Amino acid sequence: MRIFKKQYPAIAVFLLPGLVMYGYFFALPVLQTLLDSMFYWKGLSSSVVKEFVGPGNYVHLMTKDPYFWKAFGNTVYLMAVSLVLQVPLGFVLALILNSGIRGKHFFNVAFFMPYVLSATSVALMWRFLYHPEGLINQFLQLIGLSCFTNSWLADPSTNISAVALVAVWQGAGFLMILFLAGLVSIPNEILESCRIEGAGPSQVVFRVVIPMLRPVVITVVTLVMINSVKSFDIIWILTRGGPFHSTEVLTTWMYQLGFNLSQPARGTAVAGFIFMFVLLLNVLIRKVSNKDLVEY
Amino acid sequence: MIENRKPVFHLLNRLIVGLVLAVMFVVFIYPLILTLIVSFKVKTEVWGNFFGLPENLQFHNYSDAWKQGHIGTAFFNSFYITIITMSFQIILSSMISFVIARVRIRYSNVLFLFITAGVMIPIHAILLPVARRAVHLGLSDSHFYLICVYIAGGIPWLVFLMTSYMQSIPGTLEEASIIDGCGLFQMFSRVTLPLSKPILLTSAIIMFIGSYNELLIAIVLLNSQAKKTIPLALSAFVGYHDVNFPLMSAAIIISIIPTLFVYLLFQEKVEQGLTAGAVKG
Repeated sequence: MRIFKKQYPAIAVFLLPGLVMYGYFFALPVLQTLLDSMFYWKGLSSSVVKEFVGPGNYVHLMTKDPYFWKAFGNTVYLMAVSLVLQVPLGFVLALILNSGIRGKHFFNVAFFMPYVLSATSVALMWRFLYHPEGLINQFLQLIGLSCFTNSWLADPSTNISAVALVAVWQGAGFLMILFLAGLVSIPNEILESCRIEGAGPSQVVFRVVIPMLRPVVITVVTLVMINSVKSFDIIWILTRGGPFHSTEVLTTWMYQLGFNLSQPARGTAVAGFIFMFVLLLNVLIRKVSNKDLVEY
Repeated sequence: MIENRKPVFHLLNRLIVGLVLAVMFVVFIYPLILTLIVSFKVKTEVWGNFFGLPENLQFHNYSDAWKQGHIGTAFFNSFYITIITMSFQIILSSMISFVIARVRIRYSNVLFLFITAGVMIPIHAILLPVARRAVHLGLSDSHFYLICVYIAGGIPWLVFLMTSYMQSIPGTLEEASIIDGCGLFQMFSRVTLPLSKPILLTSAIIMFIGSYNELLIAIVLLNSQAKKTIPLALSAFVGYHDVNFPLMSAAIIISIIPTLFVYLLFQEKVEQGLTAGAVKG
């Protein structure tokens, strides 16, 4: 192939600017986070002395921190809600759009639209909908269910679910597109022959379509889990993790510790935890999907 | 009997599908429409006439949001930050991808792994050191520093996408260019880049949406009113006890126009771009 033996200076010109940016503003900070999570210090100023504590910050989070497990639990809850609601919703929308209905393009745009909006604006919109006099309660009153009206974002028994639903609303169209891409790749002859053999629609979906979509399902599940761990904007705008930390998740707790409670060492450890959590999910899913490939 | 029942089932199925579709459409679109309607109302109309249309269109909500809500400054800031970020991300990433995909150098696969490993790393893992470094460098509240961090964060994705695209370009044109005496730069700028136009457009779109919507890094790095980006200016509407909802809605509508515009203009490109990494990864 193309060999440019004496062009090393030119090659360096191509590589270095990007590598320096990536190295200095991304790779190094990642290493710094992992290293820093082994030290203890207070405050953001440069003159502080860092004391080596080994896994001390992590131990503190898991045994003494009053909100770490709350945040972890809420993160897992967001993940679970997305898996239970968002994935089936995205799948059903994709099935419907793929069934040859009229106006497919139109509905496609409508369902995907929330995903291109910023999570900030989406969350602001929903603050209005969840307002005690907002859309949800107005609607409940309209259909005569005023006994169910609630202060959705303030009530600690509903607020984390309310937050999760906004994430479901925003991301369902994204999953729909992923499923659609998979559905399109299933040849029509297969579905046709199932119908000729006398399989009902539900049988076709559960026995044929879903098994054939296994790689897509795995991708979707991974993405949903990782995105739940990473989500910050929606929660931050809707509740700031409150009231009284009832909607705290790992990312908001990291932010609070690092920037508002002047415990950067603990915050860094939460960041390290998020990093390892996401990495673990990636590795886990890769293992599962590889096994999948072997089976076929 | 069976012959008779089949069409009935069909009709029922279609009815159910239609109903689901209609409900879903309302669920997904009504919040946006409601926001649009509220943005034209007077403050007292919001609760008094919840489902109704505004009596008079209050266009001044938009100018108020633009000035009092500081959306104007933020709009300008976001726009130029996004454009600069996007341009540098594409230039730097395409140069790296070009070398990895088209020039045979030693350790190019190590280089590829080192850079694309960043795809798996959540942005939270760089946040605290990046914020601390901004203070050390005397660059807190600096757009320049924010742009640098944004650029770096986009490189892993783009190198991932662009390298695989460039690898799929047939090499004959490039070989011809070498025979014609093209150097590395000419080959890159005259042959490889023009052939990569589709992926460059996709990259530009996803990076535009990504940086324009970004909140967390901006919260951490920027603090003065004059420097705020759109998501920051929007989040300032949280926290007032007596939120001016029409003003807030107008701010939301202004803020989503650029992304909606890009989406409606390049609908399929946007969908492909945002899902591309997912399907391949």
